[in-house]
Amino acid sequence: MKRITDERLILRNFKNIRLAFALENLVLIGFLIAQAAQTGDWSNLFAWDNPLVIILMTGCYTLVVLSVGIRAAIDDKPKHSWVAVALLGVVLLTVITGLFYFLMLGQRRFLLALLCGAIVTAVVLAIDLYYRFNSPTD
Amino acid sequence: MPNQVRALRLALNLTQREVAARAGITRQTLSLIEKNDYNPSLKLCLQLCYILNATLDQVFWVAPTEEI
Repeated sequence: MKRITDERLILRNFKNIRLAFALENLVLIGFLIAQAAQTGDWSNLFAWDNPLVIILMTGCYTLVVLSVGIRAAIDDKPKHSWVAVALLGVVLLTVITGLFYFLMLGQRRFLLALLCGAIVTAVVLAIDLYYRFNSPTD
Repeated sequence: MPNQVRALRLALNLTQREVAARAGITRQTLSLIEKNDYNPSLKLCLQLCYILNATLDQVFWVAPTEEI
């Protein structure tokens, strides 16, 4: 296959990938909802033993982690605000633990949900701190 | 963005296909640039300037009063 060097086509290719990603996730969510509707078990809509959930979450977490870099890169506010870092950490920990606890673990095993939330928060905060203190754009 | 690519290309007696091949883009992209329907990157602007033997301001300069 011939390598594309045309910048317009490369940009269009990226846009196509973005559209495909959005469409793929919509179809995945549709399948998950259809599965839950068939079985009638809505509490396990986002159960980890379902491969579709793992595919969906892999895409979502990758997007979240990569978005952190974009947000930090265009941020003109003071970089050394530890209050902002702490606030981001608390919000992330609460939201992600809540997501795990209520949507994926069926409101069981709170400690496991907290552990998963803490791991995701730690990864996101590590990337955020890297960009705050070692931004390559400075 | 308004530009002088078409005028300079015709002055050098070059075809769209020739310029596109030398710039590493497709003929369609060059056509869109000439019709002001696509804004090229600075890197591509420079490549086009080298091919057209002109400076960046000769090819792509737009007066502040003109619409970009």
